[in-house]
Parts: sequence; structure tokens; C-alpha cells
Amino acid sequence: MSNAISRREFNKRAAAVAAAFGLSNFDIPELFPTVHAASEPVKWAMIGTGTRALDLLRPLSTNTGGQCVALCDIYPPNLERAAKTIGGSPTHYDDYRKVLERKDVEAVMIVTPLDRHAFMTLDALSAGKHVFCEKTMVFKEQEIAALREAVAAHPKQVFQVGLQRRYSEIYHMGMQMIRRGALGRVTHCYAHWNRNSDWRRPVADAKLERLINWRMYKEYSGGLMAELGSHQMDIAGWAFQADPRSVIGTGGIDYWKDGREVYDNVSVIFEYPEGQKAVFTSMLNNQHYEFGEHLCGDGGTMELTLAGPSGTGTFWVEPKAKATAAAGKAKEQWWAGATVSASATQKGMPIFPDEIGEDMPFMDRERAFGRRWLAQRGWYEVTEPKNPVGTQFEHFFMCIREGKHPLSDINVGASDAEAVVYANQAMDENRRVFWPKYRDQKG
Amino acid sequence: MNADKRRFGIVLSAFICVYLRLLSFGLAAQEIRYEASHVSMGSEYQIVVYGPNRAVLAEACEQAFAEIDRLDDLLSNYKPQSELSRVNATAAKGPVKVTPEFFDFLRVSDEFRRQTFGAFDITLGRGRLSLDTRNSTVEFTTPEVKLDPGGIGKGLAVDHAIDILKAAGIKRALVSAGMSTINAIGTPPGEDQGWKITIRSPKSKDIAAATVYLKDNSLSTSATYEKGRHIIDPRTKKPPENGVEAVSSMAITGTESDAITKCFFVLGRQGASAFLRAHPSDRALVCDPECSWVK
Repeated sequence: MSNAISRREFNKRAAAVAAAFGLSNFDIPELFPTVHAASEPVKWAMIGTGTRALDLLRPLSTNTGGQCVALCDIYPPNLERAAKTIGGSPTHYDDYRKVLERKDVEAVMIVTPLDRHAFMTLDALSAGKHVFCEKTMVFKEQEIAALREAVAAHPKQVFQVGLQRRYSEIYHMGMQMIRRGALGRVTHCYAHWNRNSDWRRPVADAKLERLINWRMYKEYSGGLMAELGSHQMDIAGWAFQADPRSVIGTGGIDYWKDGREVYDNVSVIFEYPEGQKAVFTSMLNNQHYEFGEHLCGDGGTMELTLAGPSGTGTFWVEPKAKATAAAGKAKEQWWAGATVSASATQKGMPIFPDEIGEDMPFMDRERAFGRRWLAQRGWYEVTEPKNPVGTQFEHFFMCIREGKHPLSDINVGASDAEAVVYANQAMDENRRVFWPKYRDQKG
Repeated sequence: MNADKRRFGIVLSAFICVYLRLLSFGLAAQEIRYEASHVSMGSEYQIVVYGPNRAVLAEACEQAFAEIDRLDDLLSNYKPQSELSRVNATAAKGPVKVTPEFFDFLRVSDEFRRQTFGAFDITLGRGRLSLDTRNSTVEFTTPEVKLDPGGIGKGLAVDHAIDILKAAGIKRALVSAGMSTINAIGTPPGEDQGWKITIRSPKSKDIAAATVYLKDNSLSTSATYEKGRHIIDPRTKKPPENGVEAVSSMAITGTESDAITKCFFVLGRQGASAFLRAHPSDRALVCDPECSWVK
């Protein structure tokens, strides 16, 4: 766990960014609390070892905070690939209940098709396990309350949802900049996630179609909204610090007419209590604009993405026109000096996750300043220092060992799941769907 | 009865007069401060205007920014379709007919070159401009010559913006081209001296080298602290070796303050002093590296 970033260090980084944007009083919650290296590794099992599981197992294979003791899947080829990816000698299972019976398994990671998340999580919590559940947290509206109850009934067990942007340093920087007013009043979030593929997995035997390509079928899947949009609706809620009020949308099976039941393109608009809007679009026939979020306010625009090797963040200042009554205002105070090129403003300023601390060694400081200089000229790309997919597990193991509360907890997961469920409902039923507390006061 | 009516009428009229008078005072006091910014020519332009009507202020700022964009389309050396780029591409091959406005820009620039004995020049490279007033044509005497609007473009843009604000009836305004050229109309409310401007020290952006007040005049600054030694002496084609780190000059127009600032950067303190003796309304703060005024 030597890679874990201490709170002090992260705060310093945040302060450096704050200073760069002229922001003050920059306080920030604990993102990466120090993990004690001496901690015993958490013994964990993964339930569901399909393609998404491989993305998780790769960083887990080098994570010394945990030890994989079991893998579980009903499809043997998945188990074999997963075992190769994680290494070691985990026991193989085809029934998750057998995994839950094992006393030495402290934590389980539920990476199954969406329709299984809720009951497996409930069983795992009942069996005394800590649970990491892939997003979307649940499939059906009524499962949200059941899971809330179960998590509340097991307060000593960690329950974390796989929304990895919550573990991104650049996203945290971005959110803190928003809190301190860098975007002014944040009114819109434009999110997109596009691919150029049929979103199918190859199937050796037609009998396995629904098992392998479960994402295509409404019996198991929430489609693009659940598998892709859920990440981004989490960002909208994080930025607005609110749940939506209502959602409208349209989707269709318009390009890949191959027997699938879920939409191959979706366009939805969420309305938030203060009139903010979050727009999510997704298509499977063009990936030019791959994925990311634009957060827009009257003071600026921020683009955040985990696309590319590891993600980037960019900030643009919004030209401002403001009128105030002149009487009683402070006197005009202007500064003159040589021009600072505005090209950086036009291109956007990179959001730097690295620090420039006063106590840094001279050469490290010079390098950090050098990177800023290069980045502002567009010659150096500022990227996420660590892959959040891996960082979320560092955090998961730390929470288990130190009794801490996860960043992507039941509340974050529930808000996100509601957005997915209601957006799908709005598209399927071709109507505006209101969040429960607004259903009596529509309009 | 009639007398009573008359008396009542007089009292009522007096009340109405006083009321209207008070109302007009109230309206006059309702001066609005409107601030807007816009990116053009690689700089952020800021405008602050005062006046009673928000819509008039906003419209004037919009028009001023549109004019700055129009000048950028005319004078940009990085937009291939600009008139300046067209001249750069063709004027070494023979006379190029240009618009009256562009010809005027070249003529004014060439006049500055003449007045500064070549210390200010909008051309780069060895050779010079050949201007034909009668035919509105320009020709480069060698293929090396290129027009570089950097020394004067922002000053000109600020002046045009100021003219538009004045035409809109605005009596109090400040236009800044990324802090490097600032031109002001009148004074801000309650500040008879003018618009207070702090000139930063070459040592730090937080240290003041001097404070000036602008009132119907302009201030321009050039320095090494942002872009390094980017100003070239047109006579030697090399950065000047006079120890100057920053120059801020005041003149009536932005075009002039911009041009003489570049010129003083090249000429240094002594050259600036000689020039200013012939132009007593201008003055300059030279930092070489200590900052002091030259008159």
C-alpha cells in the first residue's frame, strides 16, 4: 500500500490547484487515507468473472492489500481466464453460496449480470462479508430500499459500489474546484459515452447467447443507461450535489437490429431541483467522441474524462458580463503588465493533480513547474496519476482494515441506480418520470 | 373659492415639480457598472463601462468586441485569410492593392518608424515597405520582409473599442487588452483623478512598481517577465542589450502608447528620454532593472 496517497499530500495537491485558479480556503474530504503497510491482506473472492471482471482483476493482481482466495462463475472459460489474470491459486466455484459459506472469505466482489446484484449482495451481507458491488448497484426500483436496510443492519461491514470516478484524483480536483466556485453557478452537465461496436461478445454455442450477451436482454440488463450512463449520472449528481427531480428520454434499436432487446442508442435529459440539466447520450455506431462529461456554469466549463490512457481534466474560464449598481461599490483598482497569452484560456487549462509544495526538493519543484509550462502550451498532457479502477480497491481494503466509510457508499449507489432505473422507465414508457418525492407535486 | 383653487393648483404644481426633480436625481444616481470580457488576438479584452442604462452598456460592449474581432480578421498574422497575411504572402512579388483602412494602418505604422528612427517597425526581416499613397498599394523591397502587427495591433484595437464606446454616448469606460494596453474614457464615479492603475514590478506580479491614473489616455506595458526577450531591435535584428526588463508608457492613444513602449524597450532609458523631450505629453516608466519615470 505504499502507493496510497496520504490525506496531507492530497490536500497539498488540492491547494496547489486551488492556488493556480485563485481559489482560497480549500478544504477537502479524506480521499486516500493512509493505509498501514503492516495490515494483513484482506481475503477476498470474486463472484462473476466475465469481461468486466478481467478489468478489475488486472489491478487487483498487484494490490498487496488483498488476497484472492476464490473465484466463482457458472461459465468455466470465464473462470479460467480470471484465474490466469489474478494468479495465485484461488479456489474455483460455480455456486456463489458456497463462496459465502467459507469463513476465511472476508470480502466478496460482485461482478455478475445486473439482475443478480441485489440478491447476491443481500446474501453476502447476511453471511457477514464486506461487499464490493459493481455498478449499477441494483436492477429494480424496489431493490434499493431492501439494500439500504441491509447495509444499515450491518454497519460494521463495508459496502462499496464500483463507481470508480469517485477514486479519481482529477475528478476530486474538479469537484473541489466546483465547490470553491471555479464554475460559478453550475447549470448543465453534458455526458456522453459512445462506441463503435455491436456491444456483443462472441458466442461459441447458440445456447449460451443469453448467458454471454446478457447485456442485450431486458431480463438481465439495463442497457446503455446502466452499463455506461450510470458512471456519468454519478458525476452529474456529485457536481450538482442533488438527485434529479425528473427525467425524459428516447431510445431505439435503430442501428444494430440483431435481436437485441435493449436500445442501441439513448438520449435522456435529467432535470434537477434548481433547474439544472444533465444530458446523457450514448450510441454504438460512432466513437469519435468517446466518453466524458462537460460541466458548465456561468463562470466556466470543465471537461472531465477517464478516456485515453488514464484520463484528463480541462478547465475554461467563461467570459463574464456583469452589471452592478455603481453606488457604494469599491473603487476601481486595475493592474497593468505584459500580456499573458490568452491561448491557454482558449485551449483550456489542464487540471493538475500533482502538487508544487514549498518543502519539495528543488528539482522536483522545477519539474512540476516545467510540466505546467509545457501543458499550458499543449505540449504535455496532464493525466490521472493512478488508474481509479485500481485505486477503488486500495480504498475498499483500507476501509475494511481501518473501519472507514467508503466514498461510493450505499447513498451514492442508490442515487445512481435511481437515475438509471427512472431513465429507462422514461424511455420505455415514453413519458416524464418523476423521483418519488416529487410525484405528488408534478409540473 | 377661485383663489383657493388657484392656491391649491400652485401647491400641487410645486409638489409635482419637487417630486419630479427628486425622481430625476434618483435616476441619475442609479449609475450601473457593467463589466464584460472577450478573447481575441490571443488576449483577453476587458471592458468596464458606467451609465444609467444596462442595455445600452451591454450593446456598446458587444459592438466594441465585434470591432476588435474585425480588426483581428484584418491584422492577424496567424489567420491565413486576413488582409495582413495576404500582403505577407504576395507583397514581395509586386505591389499589392489594399483596403483604405489597411493602407492607413501601414501608413501610421511607417510614420512611427520614421519618428523613432527605426526603433519601432512593424516589419521583420531585412528590407522595408514601399507604400504608394496614390494607388493604395504596398510592396516589400525584399522577400525577407514580413509584417508583424504585434507592436501596435492591440493598441489599435483598444482605440477602436474606445471610439465605439464614445459613439454610444458612454462617458466613463476602461478597455484593457490583457493588461498590456489600457485606455480609459473619463473617470470612474467618485474618482476625479481617473482610473487607478497599478503597474506590476518585473520582480513579481504581486509587487507594485508604480501607480498611475488614466483619464482620457492610455497605458501600455512590455516586459521580459512573461515571454522572455521577445522584442527584437528592428535595427540590429537582435534582442536589445540595454538591461531593460519592463517599460510602461502613457500617451493619448493606445496605438501610440503601444508603439512607443516597444520603441523604448529597444532604445533604453536614454533613448526614451530623448524621444519624450520632443513629446512632452507622453511619459514612460523604465525598469532596467530599477523602475523610475522618464519624462
